[in-house]
Formats: sequence, C-alpha cells, structure tokens
Amino acid sequence: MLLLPWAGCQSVSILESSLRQSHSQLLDVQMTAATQQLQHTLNQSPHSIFNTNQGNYYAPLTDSKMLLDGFDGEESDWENITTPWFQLNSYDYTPTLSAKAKPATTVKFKLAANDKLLYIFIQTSALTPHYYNPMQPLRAADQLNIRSINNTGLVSHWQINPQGSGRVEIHNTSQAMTISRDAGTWLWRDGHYNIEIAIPIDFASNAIGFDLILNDSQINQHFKSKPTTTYERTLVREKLDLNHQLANYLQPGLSLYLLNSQYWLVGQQNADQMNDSDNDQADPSWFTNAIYNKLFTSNSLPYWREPTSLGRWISPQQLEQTTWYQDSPINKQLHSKVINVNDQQFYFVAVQDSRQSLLSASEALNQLLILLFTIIAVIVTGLFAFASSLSWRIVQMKKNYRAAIDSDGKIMAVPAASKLPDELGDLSRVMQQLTINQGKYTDYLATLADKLSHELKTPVAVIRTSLENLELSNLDPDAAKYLTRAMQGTNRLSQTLNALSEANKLEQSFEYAQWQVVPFDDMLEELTEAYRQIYSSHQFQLEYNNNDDHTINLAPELIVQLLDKLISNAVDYAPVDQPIRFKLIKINTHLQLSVENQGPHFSSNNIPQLFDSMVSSRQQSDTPHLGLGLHIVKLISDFHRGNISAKNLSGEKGVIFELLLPIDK
Amino acid sequence: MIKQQLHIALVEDEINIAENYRDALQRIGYRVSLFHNRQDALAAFALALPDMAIIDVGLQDEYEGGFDLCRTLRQLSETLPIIFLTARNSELDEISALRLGADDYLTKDVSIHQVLARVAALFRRIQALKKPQSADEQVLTRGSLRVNIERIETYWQDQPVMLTLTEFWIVHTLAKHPGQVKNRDQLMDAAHVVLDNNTITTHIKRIRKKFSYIDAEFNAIKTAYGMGYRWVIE
Repeated sequence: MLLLPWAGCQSVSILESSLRQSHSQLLDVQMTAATQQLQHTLNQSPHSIFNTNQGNYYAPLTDSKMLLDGFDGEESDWENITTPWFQLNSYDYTPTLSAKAKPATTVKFKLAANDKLLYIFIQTSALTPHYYNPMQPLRAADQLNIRSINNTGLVSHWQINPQGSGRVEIHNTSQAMTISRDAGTWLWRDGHYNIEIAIPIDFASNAIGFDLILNDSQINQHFKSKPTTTYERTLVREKLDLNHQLANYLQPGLSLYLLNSQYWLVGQQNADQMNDSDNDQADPSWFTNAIYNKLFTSNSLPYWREPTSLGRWISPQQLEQTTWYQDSPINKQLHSKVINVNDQQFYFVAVQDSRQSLLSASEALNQLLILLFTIIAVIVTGLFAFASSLSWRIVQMKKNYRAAIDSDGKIMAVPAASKLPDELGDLSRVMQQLTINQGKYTDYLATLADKLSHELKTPVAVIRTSLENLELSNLDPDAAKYLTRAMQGTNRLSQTLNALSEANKLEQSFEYAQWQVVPFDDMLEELTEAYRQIYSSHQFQLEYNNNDDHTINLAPELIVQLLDKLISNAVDYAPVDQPIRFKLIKINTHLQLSVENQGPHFSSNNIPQLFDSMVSSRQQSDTPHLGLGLHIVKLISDFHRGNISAKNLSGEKGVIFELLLPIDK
Repeated sequence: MIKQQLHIALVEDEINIAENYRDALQRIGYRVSLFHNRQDALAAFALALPDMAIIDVGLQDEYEGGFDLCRTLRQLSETLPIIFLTARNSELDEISALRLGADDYLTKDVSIHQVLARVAALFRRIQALKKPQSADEQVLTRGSLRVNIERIETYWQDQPVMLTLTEFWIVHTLAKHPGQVKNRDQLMDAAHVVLDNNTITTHIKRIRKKFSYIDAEFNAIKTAYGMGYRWVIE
C-alpha cells in the first residue's frame, strides 16, 4: 500500500525533472530572443561605447532625488542603495617621516546615479579641517577636484573649495567661463569630512576621477583615483533605460540581470519588485510547498544565495551555464547568455523561481497528493476496521468460552463455531472441537465410575451367588468362618459399587425431579426432628426468623438427600456435646441455609476440591467412603441453580457449609 | 417334592451366575431350564411355556435382548410371571421393564435369599389368582383403597392398580397403619428388598403416579421429610 505514495512521488519526480528541462529550454528560447533584442538595443544605444579598462567605478541606479545633506547613515537616502565603497589613494611621492607617528588619513567614496545626476558621497578618516580662506587665498586649504568625461568625450573639470562646514559650491573650471553652482554639502562632523555632492550625469556619463587635496598630516596631500594627471576612471552605471528594456521580458518569478564584462550590474529587474502580492497568494499552499520540497527538493542541488553584492555579481563562474538551486520554499534556475556589443561582453542572466512554473504545474501534484492521501486514508480505515473486527471476534470468542466453562471446569454448552473461512474461523472451529473433545472426556470421566461399577457387578454377583450357594450347602465350622468373611468382603464391595453409580443415578433422577413450592422453615423443622431421632447421640438446632416468608420452589426429595449427605458428614466429625446448627436466612431473592458444626477444620488447601467426586479427606474407616457425598451435595445444589460453599470457622475448630438457593424459578 | 415341580426358565448369558441361581432354585424344589441367549429361549418357549421366566436385560450381543424377549413372552402369555434380574440399576431400565409387563425388577446385588423370596411370592400370587375368590381372603380396606393380600392385588376406587410386588408391599405397609410414618428402612424390610434411599423415593413416586392415573386427586401418601412416608385417609 505504501508503494502508492512512493510511486506517486517517483512520477512527480520524473514530471519535475522533465518540467525542469522543458522550462530550461523555454527560458533559453525566451532569453535568446531577448538577447537579440538587447544586443540590438545596446548597439544602437548612445551608451554603447563602454570603456573596459580595469578599475572602473560603479554607480547603481537611484530612483529618487537625493537630499544632499552629508548624511549616509540610517534613514538617509543612501540607506537603500547597495553600492560599494571605493578608495582614494594617497599618491605623494615623498615619503612621510611622520606617517608612523600619526595614523594615515584614508578617503573613501561611493556613487549613485539617476538619469540626471551623479551623486557622490566622500568620507574621510578623522582629520583637522583646513578651509579655504578667501582672505588668505595662498594658504594651503582642502580642495576637491573632479575630472569627468561624458559619452561624447567631453572632459570636464570640477573644483570645490570649502570655506567651512556646510553647503558648498562647485566650479566647472573646464569651460571658458567658470560656472559655479550649488553642489551639495561639505560637512566636518565627528572629526571627519562627509562630502555629499551631485554633478550632472551628462558630464560624467563615461568616466569620473577624484583628486581630494587634504592638509591634515601633510601639506597638499592628494587622494586620487589614479596617480596620473588624467585620473578619471570608467564609470559603470546601472541604467534606467536598460531596466525598462528588461522589464519587457519580465515574467512572474523571473529576475533579470545584465552584467558588463566586469560583472557590474548595468541593468536589473527583480521578480520580487513586481510580484509582492504573489507571496500572499502562495501562503495558503505553504503546506503543499513544504511537502513538495520535502519530497522533491533534491539535496544534491546547491543552495541559492543572493547573486549580487554591492552592484556586482559575486560568482562569475555561475555564468554561461544553466544551474538549478534549491531555495526555500522553491527551486530557482539560473540561466545566462553572453551578448557581444562592440567586442565587449555582456552577460544577460535570468534567475527564475520554479514556484510559478513547477508549482503551478503542481496543481497536479496537489490533486495527486489529495488522491493518495484519500486512498491511504480509505485503506487505513479499512485495515483498522478489519483489525477491529478481528479483535472483536477474538474478544467474543474469549467471552463465549469463558461463559461456556464454569468455575469447576465443567462445560456448560459448546459455543457455536465461526463459519468464516479465515484463520480465526479455523481457530474457532479447532477450539470448538477441543471443547467438544474435552466435554466428551469429562463425560467419560463422569460415567467412568458408573461403567466401572456396572462392569464389576457381574463378577461380584458371580462371587456372591457362589458364596450364598456355598452357605446353603453344609460346611464344617472352620470353612463357615471363612465363608462369612468372604461374604462380608463381597457385601462391602457391592456397597462400594452402588455408591460409585449413585452420582450417575442421581443425575438421571434429575429428569424426574418434582418441583414443589414449600415452606422451607417447616420442612426444616420436620427434618431436624427426624435427624434428632436418627442421630440420637447428637444435638440439632434450627434458627430462623419467624417473620420472614421462607416459601421456596425446590425439589424437596433432592434437598432432603442433600441435607442427608451434609448431616451424615457432620455427625461423623462433630463432637457429641456440641450441637449441629441449621440457620436459615432470607437474602433478597435467595434463601441461605447454613449448617455448622464444631468438627475439626478442613485442611485449608483442599476446600475447593471438597465437592469434587472421589475426594475424601477422611481417615480410613470401616465403611466404604468414596467422597461422593459432598459431590452429590454439589450436584443437587447445581441442579437448583444454587451455590454450596464450605469454610472453616474462626477459632481452632468448627466448619460451616452454606447453601444459597434462589427462591423463584 | 410333593407338589408338581414348578418350571422356571432362567435366561442369563453369564453361565456362572445362571448356574448359581439354578442351583439355589433347584435346592428348594423348582425345575430350572437355563438359556444363554434369546434365540435358544424362544425356541424352547415355542414348544412349551415355563411357569415363570427370570430374564437378564443384556443377553450376549443383544444389549436389550431381555426386553425383546419379555415383549415376545407377553404376547405368548398375559399371565406368565416375568422377573428381570440384571446388573443394571438405572431407573430408566427399571421403568422400561415394568412398562413391558414384567412383574418385578431385581438387581443382581440383592441376595439369593431375596430372589427366592420374590419367586415364592410371585408364585403365591399366581396361585391365589387361580383360586376362586373366597370370603376369608385377607382384604385391607382404607377409604378408597382395598388391598387383597392373598391375591396381591390393589384397588383404588374399585379399580385395579397395577403395582409391582415391591410397590405392593410398600403400599401395604403404609396403609396398614394410616397416619404412622414409615421410614425407608421399614419400607425396605416390608418389600423384602435392600435398596438405597433413592430407590425407595423412586418407588413412592411411581406408586403415586400409578394411583393418579386412576384418580388425579390422589394424595394419600404424604412425605415426612427426612423420616419417611405415611398414609393419610381423607
């Protein structure tokens, strides 16, 4: 049964891999088309000349106008821009003796751009500011020079001479007429400079370089992009129009990246930006996703990591191949194409969530899972019901057999065997056969005594009739003596044989038993009087409550026989000086008669067997004794659906028999 | 023997027992023929009927051969006295035997003396029946009950009650002294049998039943629990 889900998983697995394959192919086709268009666009684009020199700068796209306030920390405009810090190096050629004494100043900057402005944020390490003083123009002052080239090849020079911490102006010194304009903020705060400025992107679209002159540890120390006089470096920008272009190819779950040869991100479109609302929709099926991932996410797939960091692709070796990644809760595939534009390589990378592709196809999986679980639930329910029925049958069988065999091990009725052809049915039939056999054996044992006595009677009769004939012929006195002994022995044997068959005869006589409603107290009165006459050496006492009605339905002759046996047993043991007591009590629907005498205790270990046939705890005596008396008591009690029990009285001696008889039949 | 020898047929498959009984019966003057199976007995009875038949129930292979023989004999003669002498002491066998018309049912554990007494009593009854009724017969009358001791006959409301000898003597003993309780020993002595208590109870039961065939209201035999029975005249 568990093969079902396994097979389902396997088929879904195969489905998944084929879906993956087809999806890769589909993506490949789509990307090939997109690549051609991109290539075309890039070729025609005015930005198509890209400098591939090493060590270029990168400016990601900022979608907002930034406030030039000299802050870049939390809640500033820079917070949401992932852009790397670039270093400006000190290229002074005279070694500084005091360099070791004072920590070297460091300068770093970062860039961002939109379609109008290039935002520049420069931060220095702690220093002492040296502002430009128009009153002393020749005195060494901190200064920022910027050299930029636009895509037409126009070189621009920019200069900022801060006169204090605060707003600064920038001067375009390259033009014939120096233009000054508000550039941003030059702050000296917490011991270091924060310079946040912006220049028009049209002047710096191709390259930019910085020359920051500081006078802190050393007069006129230059921190430059390059040591040369043309210190600009290529500027790589993420471009809005490319982003727009990529947006054309965007699909749900698809992220597109355009990288230049240095793996800078020049264009990107992220799936998440478009499909925020999809996350909510995916939520209801998170369970399915979780199951899907548990079942089908291959552990051999590498884990997905964010591919870009600070505007740059992290692992170029990912490119130029299709790779699948596992990501929670879905897999991603990464596919890339190389675009050649004017001998420059561009990488067009697509990362696609399989959520939208495979899992939308996994509606089928959902159905399959529901179907599978339904089937399993049905089968489990079926099995449970089957197991319950088996257990119920076993319990029933146990109950039947427990009810069939009474506490004495006697078989009351043979339970019906199951007709079902299964193992339990077989067991039931075997049990029934066993019970029948045991019943037969029990019956055999019960009739054994009777059969034995019957078989012995004939030879005993032969002996006795022979002896009696012998008696009638004239014998000499010596022989007569032996004859008498032989006769005595034979008589005793004869009595024994009668006793043996008595129990059996009694059971036969049950068929003819006459039920009668009699006042049990009156009957006991008569009986005790009779016992007083018969056993004159003993005393008898009868106790009962006169107010109670002791009428009971019973077979009087059998009850008398029962009491005869009890009394004959009692007088054998009871001391003559103490009475044998009858006590009659009414207990709800029963009458209890107890017969008590002061004879010695039963040995405690054989009380339960007292009422069994052939059990006698007596010493050898002259009269034959087979222990049948109490067995007959038990038979009669059972016949009346009563209960007979024996126990020792507390104290050193004394025993009591208790007979409980139901009043109504 | 002065009188003509009475002929008793003894059908008994156990040769030793048969011969022992034969010896005892012959000793007091009866003529005894022994048969060991039903066929032999029937062949002989076809020629001449005996004066009495003593039959065992089980005859060799035939488990109830004695009953069959009894049935056949009853067809041959209504009056032939038949006594069953058997090792079986089940009540069922006894009832079956008496129902088939046997006059008495003795188990083999009674002594030979009792057997002889029963045989003698039965012959006496036959002879009494053959005799014409006379005025000096011993008749015991107790209300509706009339007991003829000579002829061993019992009448209730002038209708004959078919009692076996044992039953006859029990009824006689009880009715002789109405109201007096007779215990089991006394009843056994009277019936010349040694039986266990249970058998006396069975006899009483059967006697009551036989009387109640004639009179459904019959209630003359009262049980004195633990002591015995007494005859009550209403």
